[in-house]
Amino acid sequence: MADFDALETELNAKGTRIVYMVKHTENVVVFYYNDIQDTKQAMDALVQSYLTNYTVTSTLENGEYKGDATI
Amino acid sequence: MINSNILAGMIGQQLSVAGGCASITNTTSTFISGSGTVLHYVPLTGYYRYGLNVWLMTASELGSAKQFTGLELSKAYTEPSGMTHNNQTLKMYHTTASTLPATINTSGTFGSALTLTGANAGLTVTDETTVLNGSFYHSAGAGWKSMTFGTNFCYNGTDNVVFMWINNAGYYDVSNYPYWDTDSTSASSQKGGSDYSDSSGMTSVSRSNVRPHLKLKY
Repeated sequence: MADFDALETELNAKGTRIVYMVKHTENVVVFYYNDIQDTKQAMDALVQSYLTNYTVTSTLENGEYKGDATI
Repeated sequence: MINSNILAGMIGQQLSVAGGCASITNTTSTFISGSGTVLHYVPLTGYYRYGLNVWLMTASELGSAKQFTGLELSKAYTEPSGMTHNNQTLKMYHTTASTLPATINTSGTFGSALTLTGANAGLTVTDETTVLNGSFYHSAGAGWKSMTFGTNFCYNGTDNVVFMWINNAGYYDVSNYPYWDTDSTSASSQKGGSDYSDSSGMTSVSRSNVRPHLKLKY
């Protein structure tokens, strides 16, 4: 069982939340943060560590980390 | 002699079938439906402003010559409301290539002028037809979502077919956007490619093994 709240807490510590949403009976996690200082690889690894069975797709452009995870 | 195979929807498209295009049969069939991941960006996204999707279908999948008049996409989830994606362009081509190249290049300005014609040494395409240049609306609920082509595609029954879907900042809402069912079985191996961005359109996409679930009307 994925810990969505813990992931949200971790992401909130990395930047400014625009969207964090768990939807469609937990089949989709949407995340969109700005003011991110980390690399895309580091952010993806963080998300994937909490959502191990999900497929994570994302972009990081101009400090904006944006993507989703689906299962 | 009256050729009853030449119908109004064929105006403006190139014909590859001797004697005209196949007749419209008012049939809708499922052509891609295998197991895969639900994705927001195949074949078009509302979570990002720009997107480009390319996919290939084989003659063995498509069967005999047909006049394609529309398609349906499989929306995976019910969203808060329906959506109108403006500035959408969908082009179809014939090709003898059986898979897409590792990088699928385009030429021309991003938007309705973007083309695959002459852009890839490993993907020779012909009979470019702009089947959609405008808006695509789908209602809020999950299920198959229908589009009628503005110009029909005359499939010759022999070659493979390439689709290119251009999303030019037509719809954007990070809280209300669609997810689509996709196929990533061996049937889609090396037959897909997609990219998306908030900053600008793209001139190429990398090949993937993913295609959207698809019904075609003919």
